[in-house]
Amino acid sequence: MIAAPGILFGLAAGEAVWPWIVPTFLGFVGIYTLLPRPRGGLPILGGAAVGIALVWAAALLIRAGAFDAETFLFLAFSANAVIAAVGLVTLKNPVRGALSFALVILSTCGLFLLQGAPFLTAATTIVYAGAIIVTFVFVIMLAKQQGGSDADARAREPFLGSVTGFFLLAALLYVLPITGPSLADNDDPLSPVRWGVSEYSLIRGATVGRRPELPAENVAYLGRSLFSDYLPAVEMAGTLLLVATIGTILIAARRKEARR
Amino acid sequence: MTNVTLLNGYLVVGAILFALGLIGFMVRRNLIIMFLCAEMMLQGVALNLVAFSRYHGNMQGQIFTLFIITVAACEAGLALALVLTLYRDRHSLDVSLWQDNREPGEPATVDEEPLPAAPPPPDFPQLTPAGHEPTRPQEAGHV
Repeated sequence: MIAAPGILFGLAAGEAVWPWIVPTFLGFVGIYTLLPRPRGGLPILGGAAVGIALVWAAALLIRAGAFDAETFLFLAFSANAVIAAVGLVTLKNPVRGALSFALVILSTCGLFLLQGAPFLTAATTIVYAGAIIVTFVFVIMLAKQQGGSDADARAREPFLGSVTGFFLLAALLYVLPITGPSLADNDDPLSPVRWGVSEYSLIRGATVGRRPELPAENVAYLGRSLFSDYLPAVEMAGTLLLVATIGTILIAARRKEARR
Repeated sequence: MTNVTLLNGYLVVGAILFALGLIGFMVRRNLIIMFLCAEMMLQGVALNLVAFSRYHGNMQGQIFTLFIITVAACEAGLALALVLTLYRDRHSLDVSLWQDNREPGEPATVDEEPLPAAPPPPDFPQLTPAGHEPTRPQEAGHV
């Protein structure tokens, strides 16, 4: 029944998903106001719109279940991630935008940790916040531009861009509770045939009808699964890294004989 | 019961990060910020995958996220090389300088509003350099 997944999304049986349209529209107004313009604008209005949208969305989500520690941590990390994401998209100063993106990464790592993926938390922090963002902050420093510049202070088609993004978001939020998972799914979590992988990728220790918990030995499970079910993909990932390194050196190196 | 509600919550956050990254990539003109918005789209997708991995109780989502990190690292290196090449040509990170590459029927992006004037450099006091005797005016009754 279509209404049944709606219950899991914080709505009563039969209630439509239209309440999500209001925070989405508020978010659109906020983002459109906050996008950089040459003459500046009223960032307080945009910030207030985004803030109200976030609080509304949190209220819609909390209504569903009990407010326990996991829910509170989820809401804290999610709010941090979304606010920092708004910062990346709207800040004029690119260094502040890059640091805002570092905050997005750290909040997303917190969400990974809440879902039982400690290795991914560490890997994402090291690779994204530690390597990619630092490299690009260095690039911004080397490519410095005095004062305000066209690249930072202007936005290209802010209205159409915001409409596109929030139209997509509204469509996703509308479809999510209708086609979302229900408790009837996942009746046999340990069947390898169902998932198309060997038993190395599934979690042992579960009973039928009860969703298995992810084990503490996360790295062992990842290793066992990577090097049995996904071995060709691992080898190809290594080859991809090698090819990308060669390509980067080839493209970025100055070659004196090329300038003739 | 709370498990599934939070799954939908994680999917919502993933969708929000993806949509914001999409807006940022389309709207911003700084090449580095455009690239970071693309990376944020990847983070939204990774959040979705890890949420489903937790929900279904297997490792597939987390393994796919590992491959996403690998591909993102390769993409960062190549994007950096391309950004540096473009910067060396025009000495600016503005992507609108390359709009001659647009499709034939598209109108050009013309900046009509001028940027606000940069504030004038602050007025620093002129100090005499060390080691020089400052010139004094001659006294009137010098004998």
